[in-house]
Amino acid sequence: MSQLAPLRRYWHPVEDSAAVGNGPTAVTLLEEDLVLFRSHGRVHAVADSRPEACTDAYHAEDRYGLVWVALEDPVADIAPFPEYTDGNYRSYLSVTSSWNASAGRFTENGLDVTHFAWVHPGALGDRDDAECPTIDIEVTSYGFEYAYSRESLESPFATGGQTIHSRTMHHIPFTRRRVLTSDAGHSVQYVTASPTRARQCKIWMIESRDHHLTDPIEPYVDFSRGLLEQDRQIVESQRPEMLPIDLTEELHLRGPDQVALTYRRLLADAGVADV
Amino acid sequence: MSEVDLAPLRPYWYPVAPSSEIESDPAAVTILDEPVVVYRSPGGVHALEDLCLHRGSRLSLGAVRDGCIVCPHRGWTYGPDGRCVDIPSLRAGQDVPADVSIRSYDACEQFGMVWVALEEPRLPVPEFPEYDDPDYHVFLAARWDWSASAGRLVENSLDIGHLPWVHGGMLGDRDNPGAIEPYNFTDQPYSSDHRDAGFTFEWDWHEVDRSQYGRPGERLHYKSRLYMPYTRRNTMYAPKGNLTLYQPTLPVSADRVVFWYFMARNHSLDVPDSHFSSFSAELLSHDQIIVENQRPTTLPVDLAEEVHLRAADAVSLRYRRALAAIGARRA
Repeated sequence: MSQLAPLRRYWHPVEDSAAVGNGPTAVTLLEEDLVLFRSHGRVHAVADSRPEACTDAYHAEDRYGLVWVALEDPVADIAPFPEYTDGNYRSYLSVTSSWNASAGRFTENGLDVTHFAWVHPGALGDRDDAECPTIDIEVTSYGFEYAYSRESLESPFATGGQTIHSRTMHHIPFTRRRVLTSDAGHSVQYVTASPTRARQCKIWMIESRDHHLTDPIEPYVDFSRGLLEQDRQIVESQRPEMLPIDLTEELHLRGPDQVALTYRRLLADAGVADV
Repeated sequence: MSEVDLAPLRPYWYPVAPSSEIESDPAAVTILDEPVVVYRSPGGVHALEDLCLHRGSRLSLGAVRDGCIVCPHRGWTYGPDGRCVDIPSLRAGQDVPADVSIRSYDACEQFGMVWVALEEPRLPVPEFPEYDDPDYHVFLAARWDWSASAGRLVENSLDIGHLPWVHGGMLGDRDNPGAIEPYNFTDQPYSSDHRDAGFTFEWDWHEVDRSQYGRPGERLHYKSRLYMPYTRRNTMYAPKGNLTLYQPTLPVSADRVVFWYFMARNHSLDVPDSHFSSFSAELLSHDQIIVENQRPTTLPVDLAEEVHLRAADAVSLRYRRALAAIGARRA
């Protein structure tokens, strides 16, 4: 899969840290079968074909409750998640699942603001008011950052009519940290996708918040899980399966698609082909 | 199945669903590997490419509103002609770009089925005169979905030589199969205007013990018509009356076929339909095992690729030559 080769130079999550012990754990990353194990207090990743050849180990790290692997010397750091270790926040893994979709399609959908009203009506938007808000977007060293404000909708654990400020830090290629600020405080979503194979990915969503700290977690988890299942049905249907980096292959709207356009341009700049 | 060139098979009407199944929700169908969304508006049935131009999402997961189809992803809305008429995320004052349009296909309803043609159809919808004939009772007996090519299915349906072997005791006798008598090819029924429209042939057949159509030993007359490329209509003439099978056939891909089985009769009207449908279902279950296992999966149109007998395989030879005439190399 030479198409995936440029992604070997990035960190990707491959497994929950808690699932990896001293014995071998098999995972797949970029169509390569790997074995994870712990020894001398550290996590290791080696090719499944020759687990004895530890000298050929790949880069492996525990971070934010996940094991991350880079198949070649990484060109960027693992996306930071300061709230995860901040004592004022409560953090928990809310969703993990495997999708029959490329990591690129999954990621772009999550970055896009205009799908909320259509795929998550009632929860994140309103079909009768689907006009794209004004989005401020800025390219950064690690990817890009964008922000906008919207009005909250009534949900099992939020009151409607509040202004929510949404700020997303996206790290090329597949990890975003989104900070939602409302009167109640801050809610953070750290979402990352692992390109297991060209047309499949494994996803994780970790959430943190500095308010409602004593609420049970389940309703929040169910809410996030429900939203991602709505996305899954649509994203798994997208064709072509791989996100087309060539901007002439799909139609883009100035304004509503500026985040997607920025994402595709930065992937192209990083030498990444359709993902 | 991209190695198989399906293009010559595109300009024909194909059945996609009974009319009763195309209601308020859009339906996803695949015709010759092409994903198509079919939906109904007050103006009739419509068929469009099942792919939103914006992000390649499936329109068939969306909804029908005001005669248009609305993409589930961001609400892009397409009219029956395929033109995008609304993009809800656009800001006030921004217009839908003029040239945003997906492919639309011809769609129609006949004989209780919705039909779609991927390209300007060369032939009319295959005839089924019994459907509107007040002397006949017509019912849809079954829908079948086989892991086989449409060409293999249809050739097997037309072939007489397999009957004693695959359906021994029901249609023919394995211990006494008999030689295949010469087929009598007659004129095509619907198509002096249309070259390569298909062919008609007639033959006689001795009924055996479990026959439903006549008494054992009785010699019945049969007439089969093939409407290119894949729809068959077969009539049995028995002393008590006629029984017609109409088999509209959808080539989903080079290795998957869906077909429907209509039965029409002008006799035995007090006998339950299930008496006839269960007999044909048993026959087809025998065929399915054989046809799904034929190799190569697609029907080789080049006559050199398989061995043919001049008389016994006359119908197969005729069918393969007709496929060659429309430019198909595999079917």
